[in-house]
Amino acid sequence: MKYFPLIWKNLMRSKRRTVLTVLSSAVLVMLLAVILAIYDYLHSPPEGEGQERRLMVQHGTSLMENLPLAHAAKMAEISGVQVVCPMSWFQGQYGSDQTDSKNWFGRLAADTTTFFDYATECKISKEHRDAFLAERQGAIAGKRLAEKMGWKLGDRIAIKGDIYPVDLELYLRGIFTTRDPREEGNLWFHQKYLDELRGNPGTVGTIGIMCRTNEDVPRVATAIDALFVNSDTPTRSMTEREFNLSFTQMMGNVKLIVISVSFAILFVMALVTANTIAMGTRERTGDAAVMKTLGFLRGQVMGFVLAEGALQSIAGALLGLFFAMGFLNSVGQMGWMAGLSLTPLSAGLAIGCAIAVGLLSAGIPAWHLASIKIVDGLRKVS
Amino acid sequence: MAIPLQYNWRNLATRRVSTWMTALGFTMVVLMFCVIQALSQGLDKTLISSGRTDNLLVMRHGSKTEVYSNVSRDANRVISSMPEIAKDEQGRAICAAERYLTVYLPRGEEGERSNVAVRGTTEAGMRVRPSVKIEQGRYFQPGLNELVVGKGAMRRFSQFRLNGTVSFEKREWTIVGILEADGQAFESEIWGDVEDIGNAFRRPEFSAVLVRATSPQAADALEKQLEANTQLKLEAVREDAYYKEQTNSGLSMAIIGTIITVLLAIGATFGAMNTMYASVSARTREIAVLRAIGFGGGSVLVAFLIESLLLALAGGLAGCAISLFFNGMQTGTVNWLTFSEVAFQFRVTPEILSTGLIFGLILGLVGGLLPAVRASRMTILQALRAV
Repeated sequence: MKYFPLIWKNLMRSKRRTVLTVLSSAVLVMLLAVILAIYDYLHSPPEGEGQERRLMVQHGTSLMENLPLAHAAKMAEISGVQVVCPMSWFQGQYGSDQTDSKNWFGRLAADTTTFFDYATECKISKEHRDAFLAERQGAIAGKRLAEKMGWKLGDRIAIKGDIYPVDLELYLRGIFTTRDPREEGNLWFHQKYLDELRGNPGTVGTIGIMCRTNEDVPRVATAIDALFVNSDTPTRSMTEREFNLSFTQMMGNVKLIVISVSFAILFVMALVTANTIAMGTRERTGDAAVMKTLGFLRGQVMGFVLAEGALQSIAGALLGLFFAMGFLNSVGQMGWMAGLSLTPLSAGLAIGCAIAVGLLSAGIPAWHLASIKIVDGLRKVS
Repeated sequence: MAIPLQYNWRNLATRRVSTWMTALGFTMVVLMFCVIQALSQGLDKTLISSGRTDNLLVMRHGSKTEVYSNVSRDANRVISSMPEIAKDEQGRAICAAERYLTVYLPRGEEGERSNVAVRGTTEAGMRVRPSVKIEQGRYFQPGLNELVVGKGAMRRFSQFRLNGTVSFEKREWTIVGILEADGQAFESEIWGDVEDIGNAFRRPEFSAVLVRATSPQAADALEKQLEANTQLKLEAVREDAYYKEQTNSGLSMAIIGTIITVLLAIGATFGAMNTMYASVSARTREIAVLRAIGFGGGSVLVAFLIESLLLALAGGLAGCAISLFFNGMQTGTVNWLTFSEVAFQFRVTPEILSTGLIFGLILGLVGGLLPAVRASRMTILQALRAV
């Protein structure tokens, strides 16, 4: 690129202008990247090994209703079903009201005879696993959660119930790790213990199913729902992924919001870039005239301006991504949206949009400058 | 002596393209600010304004919401006979034992599903909530599987029609009325007869009992009595406090909204600063002449600041005007505590508009300050040399 020094010199003509434009683009790209990261977070629920083979069965009418445990036995008989794991979302309150909302974490009861066959992404040492299985009031927690709460093995964890009017007294017997850090924010305990406290009503919140193969999944889901459609407690089965996504769906039309905000961001970026390039070209009519006199073609002159626009955008985009990653890292520590990060796809999308905006906004001023008649251009030299 | 406004005005008119583009930048920022605030305000208003301070919601001890609570018929008998409960002109107790649950329905014919709250109640439900009125149609009658749907829910679930049917729990329910409640949370709910709902969902017990106390002292007394009664295991909470708790659902939205607004504002302001700097450089000659005539550095500073403010004002006003289109737009989100839909509307209030405008003006000030200082600091000699 033999013309690079020329382009560079032009950019450095007004250092302040270039710096302000790059900073403006950087801030806007940072915002775009953060929005995309939030979108990713909401739409890419934790993926564990074997997740594609898992189904979640809930009550057909409402997530709030429980399923009879008897359903689990019938489900196990359907061909293609490998593991049936009843579980219940306990929620409840840990500590006082304020500390609970600050240090929120998932609390679930599961049928521990099948849990480890179902939750294949949980990596736990045999020692911890056996200790947990042996103790009725035992509990296991994700490594990240245990570290955050400062729990050690053997600690007593008391949880006051709200969905179920019983209070839990658990003892930490094991720590597990998962590939996705989000999964490590949960605490699991024995469904049997919850049942006993409730006086064995024979119901659970949801039933998790692990199918033998990926192809079995849709067939099994339909079969399960068909089995119970006329009973008192019909079911609704969906893949685990759909189940996780249903919570995002409830939040509202997230996609629409993300698109609208992204549009606003790119619009402002276009305005700022176009304005600055236009200002630059207005001052350089003389230069353009001289260059055309020397023999540079219209296309080349336009190319120089476009290259300036592109360079500014690239610089701004890279800086913005750098800011975004720093911001997302610090937010990630705070635990509210743990695991919020920028995927390569989103990063690429942000850079791509920034460059596209840069080129498009530089387009018209570039064209104007390149089309100037030599005579008119020289006339304006003061 | 102040430089006449005409100078600023003429200048903006001359460099038309730059003026428009910078003003447009301010428009976007102020628009974004107003719309995000309107969203927050809309949700808050629906939740905060719901509930009366003289109503008490009696639930099972320890449950945070009506969804997970249950109150037996015997307990209800005890509650409804308490002397602290107010009576209406006909001597009936203002007290409603209700069943509250959620149903998973699609929004529109093939839309995404969400949980909508279903409240089984009686005509006492309206008595204890005087803000609730039937806007169209009539109230449901017991035993006929009839429903009254809140205004907000009607809009969110486009398949609902007055005199049309909805099916859930293996039966068809007829919508006989639309209820309105001054924007409160009840407009997101579906109401039906308490026994019809109880039979359909096989719930022998009530979820909660809403009562009106005769006076604030009576309310306190009632709360204490229930707390003291360890057999019943109930607790009472003021209805307005109950709904206020649920505003935490909007917290994450508010935080994200603030981040968006702040960053967008910074980005736009850098752009505005650029425009003003360019403007100052282009007008070096004019500044020289102004200084030579006798205008002081202070006047020059003020003049350039005013230009920047004019741009911000124009852009801001346009932004506020456009945001008015959003006023009243229906939307909804999930109440994380009850897991059910809260239908609400964007609310663009005069306070939001004025705050948005002031926000825009502040940005104009910040963006224009450094360039204006630069202009004012230029010595006459420097400026004339550039001629």
